[in-house]
Order: sequence, then C-alpha cells, then structure tokens
Amino acid sequence: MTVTNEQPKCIGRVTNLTIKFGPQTVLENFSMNIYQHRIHVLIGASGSGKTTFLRALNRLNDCFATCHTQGQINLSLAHKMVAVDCLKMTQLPQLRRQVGMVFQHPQLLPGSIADNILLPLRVVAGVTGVDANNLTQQALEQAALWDEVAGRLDMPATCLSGGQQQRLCLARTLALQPEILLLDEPTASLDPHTTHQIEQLIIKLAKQYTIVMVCHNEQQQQRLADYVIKFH
Amino acid sequence: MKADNIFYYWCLVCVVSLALSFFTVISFIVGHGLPTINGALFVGDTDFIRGILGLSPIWDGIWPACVGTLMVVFSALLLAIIPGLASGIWLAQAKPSGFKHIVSLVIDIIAGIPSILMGLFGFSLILLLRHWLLPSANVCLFLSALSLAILIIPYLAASVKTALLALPASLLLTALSLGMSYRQALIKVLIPQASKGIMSGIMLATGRAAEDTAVIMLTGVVVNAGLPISIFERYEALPFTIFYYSAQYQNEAELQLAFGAALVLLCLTASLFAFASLLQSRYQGMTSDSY
Repeated sequence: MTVTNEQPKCIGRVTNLTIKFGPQTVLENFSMNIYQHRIHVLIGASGSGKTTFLRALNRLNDCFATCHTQGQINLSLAHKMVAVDCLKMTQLPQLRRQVGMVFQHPQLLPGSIADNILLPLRVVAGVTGVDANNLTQQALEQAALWDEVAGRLDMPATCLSGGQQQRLCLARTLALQPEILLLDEPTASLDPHTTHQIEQLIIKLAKQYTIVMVCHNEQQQQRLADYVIKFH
Repeated sequence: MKADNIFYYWCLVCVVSLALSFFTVISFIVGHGLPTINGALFVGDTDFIRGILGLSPIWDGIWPACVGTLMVVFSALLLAIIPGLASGIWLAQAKPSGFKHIVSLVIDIIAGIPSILMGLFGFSLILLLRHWLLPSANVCLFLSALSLAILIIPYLAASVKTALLALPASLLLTALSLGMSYRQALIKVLIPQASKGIMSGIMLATGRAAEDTAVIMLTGVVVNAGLPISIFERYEALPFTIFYYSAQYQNEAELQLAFGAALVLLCLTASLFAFASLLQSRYQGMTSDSY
C-alpha cells in the first residue's frame, strides 16, 4: 500500500483480509485504512482482487455461494464503528445502503429513468410522492445529469448513452444518501469527454463522500487519487 | 453454404407445416362446431335464462360442463399456483445442494407422470379415505382439482424457474447492492421482470388443466350431473363431454354436440389466456412508478 498526502480522519480499517472463491485465493492478508472525504484509488492487474475487495466492503461477496472471507473490516457509519465482517444477513441491506456501489458497466433496473431512482427510494428508504421526486432531482443534479434528462424522465433508461447510464447509476446510489461510495472502474469503456465529466464529478463528490474506486488508468489515478492502494 | 441452405429450408418447412396443421385443426373445429353454436347447444330444451341461471335442470346442453370446467380449472389453479410459484422461485434461487437436486428430480418425475396415473392416484386416495378416515368420501370436483393441481405444479415450477434464471445475474446483484433485502429484490425487481415467462407457465398450466380428460374421468366427472352445486359433488366437464359424445354418439346430433363443445372449449381456454395476458399487462403497469 502506497500512501500519499497527509492523513485526515480515519473512518475505516481493513485488517488481514483474505478472500477465497472455492479453492482459489483472490486476496490474502490485505490491510488498509479508509479516510473521510478522500478518494482511495485501487490499482493493479486484472484478477488481483480489486473488485472483490470493493464487494467485501458492502458484503456483496456474500451473494456468491463459493466465496469465503476472513479478516476484519470496520467502518464508521452513522457515527458508529461497525464491524462489517460480523454483521448478520438481516443487517446487510442497511450496510449496502450506507456503502453505495456503482459497477464497472451501467447496471440499470428495468423501467424508465425515473423508475431507476424511484424504485430503490420507495423499496429501500420508503420515500414516495413529492419527497421522492425532490430526492430524484437532487441526485440527478449531483450526478450532473438533470439538465440532460429533465424533460424525459419517463423514457426507458436504456435510451441513455453509456456515460449517461453510468451517471444515472451514480445518481441512483446518491439518492439513497450513502456515506461511502464504491466505484468499480466507473469510466471503463467511456469516451474521453465523458470520462473527463465523470472525473470532475468524482472530485466534486469527494467533498461530501468517502470514495473507494478501482482504476486501471495511470493518468486518471494521478488526477483523482488522494490515496493509491496497489494490488498484486 | 449448401448445408446452411438445407437447414434453413428444413426449418422453414417445419414452421410452415406447424402453422398449416394448426390452421387445419382450428378450421376443422370451427367449420363443424360453428353451425351448432346456439342456445340449444348450451341448455338443450330448457328455457335459456332459467337454464343458465340454474333455475331449471339442463339435460341435453353443455352449459353445466362449461361451468364444471371453469370451476375445476380455477380450483386446480388455486391449489397449484402458490406451491408451483414457490417451488420455481426456490429452484431458481437456492444454492446447489443435494436436497435441491432431489427436489428438481421429483418435479421432473411428476412432470413426466402420465395423467391417467394421476387420475388413478386420486381414485386410490379416495378409496383410502373411504376405508380409513371418511366413509362418506367420494369422487368429486375437489378431488379432480387436487389431482390436476399435482399434475400442473411441475409446469408452473419449471416456467418460473426458467423465467427467473433467464434474467441476468447482475440484476439481483444490482438490487442487493442498493440495499434491497433478498425478498424485496425478488418481489420488486426479479418477478416483475420475469412476469411474462411466469404468465406463460400459468397459461400452459391452465390449458393443461382445461384439456385433461384422463384425470377427471377417474376422479369425479360424469356425463350428466347438472350445474355443480358444491366442490364435493360430481360434475360435468367439457373435455369429458367431447370424449363421451365423439366416442359413443348415437346419432348425428350428438356428434355435432361434440363439435360444438370442442369449439366452446377452445373459446373458453382462449378467453382464459386473454384474461391472463390482461392481468399480466396490468401487473407490469402497477410495478412501474410514475414521476
């Protein structure tokens, strides 16, 4: 692990994390600290365990039958230190809401642009009606997408371009008001202009959220990273 | 290239043959059945309104068989739909295990059981009940519905399982990553997305329950019972009426009655399918939010 910059408030500690899928060890004895409102960039070769590590932070690896995780993950969520690795299954939805994730490729929910944000808001947060509409607009503004979709929220989300879909996924996660954002190569397969747009957005979001992201691009890493974590 | 062409034309011939067979059968039934469609087909000599409302007994019409068919199909669906859907969901979502393998095998075996055996099972069940528990038990509409339900559960389970497995795995992961519980992801995201496939399974099961003759023949259907007054009574049903009159007709009128009944059964199942499609489109509309 290579650390640059001065260290602000530590809100997360990962200790001796080992993750196996069946007999294959993907990550071994990995440790790192997570700092508030900073961008942590995970770099390393394909298959080095970056995405697996991200999914360990919100326990999404639990969805894979063969995954076995050892080690400690402690995150400060809602001003309380939470032992993520010890959470019960029933506590995982709340954890995943607090530790929001955006995948490498846009993963849309079925339905319109608005449905993509309103459905999780209604189901997960129980927010409906005017409040939900306000939160939707706010999240789309945060993701710098509102101006582009304001007049066509009822259109299918699949009509959007790749960059817009990725920002919609980001807006969907932001609408649920997470504390930590996990971004898995959010600019993969996007054109340079859209990549620049999303990078600016990430820098802006880091003022409000703690960000842990996977990146394959060295220039992007230099532009964004407060902390660089190398995976081998 | 030549092999590709042969394969293409072979597929085309198959599709055209299928379509031709379908239209030939339908035309045959419509051609013979349509002239017989009138009030007398349904109520015989009885006054139409009084017969339809069940105020006068019907001796020669197929109206009691129409009502009997609808009742037995709905009862079978009511009994089968929850276990069928639940089994399909479980099979699609459960982690691989020995138990899952056994359940899959059992469902496949039930799907392969000839319906006459299911009828015999129902008949044996009533004999067992009469002998040990309930001396007054007899073959009836409920027994037919129960046997049909067991017959169609595998169709429902298989269609639900296939429809859910056809969804991209990332959909469940996305829903869970947003903080949905497994149950919420299933009800709010996966099932609405798979509803078309699930509805196809329900339609298939409905068709199977509506057309089956072997099961009901051994479990409660009779040629003449009038309108079913209770699910614990014998009843009439269209498939059996068609079977009976087409196999043992005494005169031309009875054969025409069988054709009429066949056309009515066709229309009845088509109406059930249309109703199911309407429900599906309503359901999809309900699960979508509006801004």
